[in-house]
Amino acid sequence: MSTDPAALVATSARSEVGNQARQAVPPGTTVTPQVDSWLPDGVGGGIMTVTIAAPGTPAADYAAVMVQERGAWKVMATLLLPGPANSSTAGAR
Amino acid sequence: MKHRYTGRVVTALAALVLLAGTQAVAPRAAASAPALPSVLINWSDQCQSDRLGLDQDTVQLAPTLAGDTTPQGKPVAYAPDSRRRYTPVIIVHGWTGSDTHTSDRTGDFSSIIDLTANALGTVDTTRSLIGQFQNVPGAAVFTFDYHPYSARWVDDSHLGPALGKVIDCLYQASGQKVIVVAHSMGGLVTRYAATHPGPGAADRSREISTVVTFGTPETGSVAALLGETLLDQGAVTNQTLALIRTILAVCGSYTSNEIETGTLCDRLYAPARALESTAGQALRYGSPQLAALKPWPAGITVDALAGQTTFQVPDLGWFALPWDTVPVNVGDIIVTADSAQHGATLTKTVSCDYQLNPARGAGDFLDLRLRLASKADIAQEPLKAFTGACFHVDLMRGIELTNEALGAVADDLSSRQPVTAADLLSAPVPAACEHDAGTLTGGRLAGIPANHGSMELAWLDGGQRSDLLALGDLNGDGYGDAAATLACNAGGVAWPELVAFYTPGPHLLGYVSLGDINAPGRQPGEHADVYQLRYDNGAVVAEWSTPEDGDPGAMSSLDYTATLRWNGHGITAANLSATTELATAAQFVTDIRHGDAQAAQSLSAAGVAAEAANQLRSYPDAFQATPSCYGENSLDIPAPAAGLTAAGGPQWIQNAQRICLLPATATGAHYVALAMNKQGFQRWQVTSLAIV
Repeated sequence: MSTDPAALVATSARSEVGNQARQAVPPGTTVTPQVDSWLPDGVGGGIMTVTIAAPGTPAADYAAVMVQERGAWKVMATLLLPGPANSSTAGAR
Repeated sequence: MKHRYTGRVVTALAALVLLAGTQAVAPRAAASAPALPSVLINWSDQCQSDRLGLDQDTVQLAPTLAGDTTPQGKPVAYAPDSRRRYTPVIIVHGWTGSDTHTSDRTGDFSSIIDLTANALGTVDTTRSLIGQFQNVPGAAVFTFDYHPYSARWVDDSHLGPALGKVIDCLYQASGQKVIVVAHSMGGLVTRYAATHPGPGAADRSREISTVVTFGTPETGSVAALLGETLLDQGAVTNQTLALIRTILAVCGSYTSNEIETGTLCDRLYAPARALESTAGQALRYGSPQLAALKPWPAGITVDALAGQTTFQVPDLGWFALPWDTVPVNVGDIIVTADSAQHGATLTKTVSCDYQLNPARGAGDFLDLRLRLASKADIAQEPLKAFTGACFHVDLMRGIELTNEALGAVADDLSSRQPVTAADLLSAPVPAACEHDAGTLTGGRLAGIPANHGSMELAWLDGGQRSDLLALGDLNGDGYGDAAATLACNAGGVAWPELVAFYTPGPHLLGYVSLGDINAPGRQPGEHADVYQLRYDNGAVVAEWSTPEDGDPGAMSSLDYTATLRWNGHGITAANLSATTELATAAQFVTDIRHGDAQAAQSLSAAGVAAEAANQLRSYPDAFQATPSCYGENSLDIPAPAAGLTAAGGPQWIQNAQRICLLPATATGAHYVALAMNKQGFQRWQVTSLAIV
């Protein structure tokens, strides 16, 4: 995600995200998926809380709507969760 | 605050009032519900599932449930219409649903109507939608339940073809076009049946009058798209799909005992999970199965009802890339409004606008809270407790759309009741006599200023109603229509009367001014007055009288007869015949010339035939001539005869309505004049004879 966010844009979201995936997840961003937060939607996808900490900005939690495309997970959309991020900014990049 | 809805309320209330009619009651009854009419039990027996080769209980006469009551608190009961007849109303459920009507109310049309799109209102209905229909006089409600096969496509033998058998049977048993009320894919099951051959016909349009659909995916379902993650879904936006997935995921996070029965989370899952079924795959936009379905046949009224939910969703985007916070439109979550209303004759949409806020649930799981977007004073409700009148599975619980469905059924049944003279007291009338089109009140058009004339049913201004009104089927649809005489003027003398055709409602089918129907060479008369309208084999035989050309006295001496018929676009006149005094005068002269005194006497007043026989000897050439006839004050009467019409003069023939002249070439006279008086429609008499 932090190295090539465009690769994670779901097909149906491409027209909205366009070539701005890098702006959505700037270089140096720490991305921390909250694995325990996974909620399957029952139709092949689900949502998960993801903490994003971009350089110079406070960390924020998003609910990411995930779908599978040819075996790979993609992000359709996100919902910004209210309040401060619940996890530390340390995590996978 | 209690909110009452008035959509189609006139029809609905009329239906409820009509419930006061009596019922034919058979001695078979549920313990606490009214007995079922014997005629309906007979139909139920005739169209039993096993007789039609269907699974047991596929088709059932819906029983009245003890908990379904009228606004007066009485149990809902079947009642015949004003013709003492019933019309089948067939209920068809949708994808993954069922509709058998039992006291546990698990059928999709059996829940009490308790929702409204107005979050500030409440609903105090005490009936299910099936109960609403049962409350309409003339409605006989049957359920078609294919639940064990509901994940199959509509061409499966248990779905469309089976419904076709049920429609055929109930149509034949009742002799009435059936009405179908369907939810979701049930509308496509119905479309399949409607577009496939019935007995002796290429489709079933002659067996079905009205179809009401709730959230039918005519062009596809949003839910069916959830499995198509690789496609850029042109029909539905990414935001819509993402939002529905979010709702499904959050609903799925609740344990079943957390969710309140009847809420969105309780009822949304089944149709969404069925997307991989045969039906689910067929319901994808652009699927070959959908493409193979034929359009609704012409002649069937399709009233398509849809839910339209929009969510204001703050902070929707793709991580730090926010999207415009436009409302996300999700239709009824399973079907978009566009899809639900494609190809319909009539449509109604119920709209619900919510704000959807994310919240942190227990254990940091995402929770969702809903509230009215524009009403900040409404407390947020958790998703697991949320019901909504706009959601796919709840459309038949909402007062707005069920009122529309009730109105559609009541209107259809009302259209089968023959037009009566009483109905015409409030009939629509066309623009005529310088008055705008309008609707009669008490048989007269209101709002016309004093001294500016009138427009009214002709029999209110004298004349026998039975002569000025003809009842019968005028457009070939099997229902009782009416032809009525309308009289109007613009403040002076009467204008030519109109003959208007009305279908049940009453609705104005068409009209014709009698001033526009004239024999070749004849000019329109100043007025034209109906003598009689008579129904004859799908048409109306009209008899009316009008002045002849050049008669300043405007005496109605020209009698017309014509057959008026509706041709699908307008009223045509055929078999036009015209009768004046001339025929009687000519026959009288012929009888005199031939010495047939008896025949001549039958056409004349006492002594006139004898006097004419005498004059024949003096003026034999006159009795060889063809009469020329003139009005009482005609300006073009030949000068030698002008004294005959000069009131008070020595030659004046008092009370002569027409004067017919026989030119005499013999010495001593210019004309033998016959005074003619009208005795009735197309009946004239020679009342006196003069030599001038």
